[in-house]
Amino acid sequence: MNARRALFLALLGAAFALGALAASHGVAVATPYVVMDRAMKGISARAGGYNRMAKAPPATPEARSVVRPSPDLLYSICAYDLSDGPVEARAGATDGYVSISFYDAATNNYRTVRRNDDASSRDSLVISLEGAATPESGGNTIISPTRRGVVLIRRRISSPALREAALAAQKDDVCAAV
Amino acid sequence: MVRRLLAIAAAALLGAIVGGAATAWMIFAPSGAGPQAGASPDGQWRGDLKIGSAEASAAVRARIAIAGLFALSSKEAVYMTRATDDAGRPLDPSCAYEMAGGAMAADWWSITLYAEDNYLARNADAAASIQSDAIVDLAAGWRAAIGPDRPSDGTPWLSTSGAQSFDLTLRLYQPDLDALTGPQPPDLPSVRRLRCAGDGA
Repeated sequence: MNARRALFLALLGAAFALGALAASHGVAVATPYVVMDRAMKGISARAGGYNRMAKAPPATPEARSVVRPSPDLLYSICAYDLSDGPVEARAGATDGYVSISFYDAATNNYRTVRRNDDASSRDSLVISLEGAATPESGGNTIISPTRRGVVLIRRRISSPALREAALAAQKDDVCAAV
Repeated sequence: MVRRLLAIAAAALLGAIVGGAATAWMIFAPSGAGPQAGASPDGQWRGDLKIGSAEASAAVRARIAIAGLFALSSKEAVYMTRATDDAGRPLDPSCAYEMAGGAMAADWWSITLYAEDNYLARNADAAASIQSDAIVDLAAGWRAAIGPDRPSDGTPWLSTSGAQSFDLTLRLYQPDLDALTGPQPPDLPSVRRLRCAGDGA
């Protein structure tokens, strides 16, 4: 094999490897954005628009809206859009485990607060876009790295009593433009 | 010269197709059939403490976006999944299993059975999950049944009815990350196969 042919074969191999690496990385990076975009559209359709809370019933075997739902939790979910300014999120009061989680447009859980462990989270939380003017909210500002994202409230419903209390508190969950 | 440049471009295109397809398979493979993300402390349960965070690799984030969208970061919850029994065999919905464990490094936990489509198995058994509140004495050890038939003695049960294949997800809420990542992490629940439909026929 002469040197030119060897160089050509090496270039073929390098081109194949580079193509494979680039496509692999591209698919992996793009997937969360695509999945999240579809999820946010579905959530907003169910809630009646962006910046509105969808209050889901306890998960059942028939539910097919969010993968791997936990039947031990009651969920409220809101797709937010900060294009027109900050958005308020609030979880209704109940005992037990209540968390309020924030996800950016690439599915990252960039912040979670536990309502009953963090007194400041019992009032409204104001979601504001990173770099934008932040409204006065008594320290309860959540800085979102992306313009759109999701707020997810989880309540533990491990007993009939907790389930009833959670369903009652869920009625007071809020997601709305400030 | 032109032919050689075209050949190199074709090789790059072929590589892109192969690389893209392989990554897509890893991301979209049905539960139980594809590779699971993360390390395994016991060779069976698998998880990644970076799930839900921006530090997770692109491949892990993509896989979780498909199979576990809206996972919490590990400060709030740790997720572990297994699709095999203690002998390494794929979990089979026609088989009966005994799951056993003790106290775990978390404030509370749950174990949920998911069908091949990443949703709860379609059945009316109301036995998709067990959680720590249902266990009277966690430290003394606990046992649960997995299979198509409800135990007659009231043992906590995960029903496999309606699933073509299944896996189990352990959620550790408010986890003790120091314990979980320490040199001797607590044991995770075992899953022992007892019998399968057709055994002894």
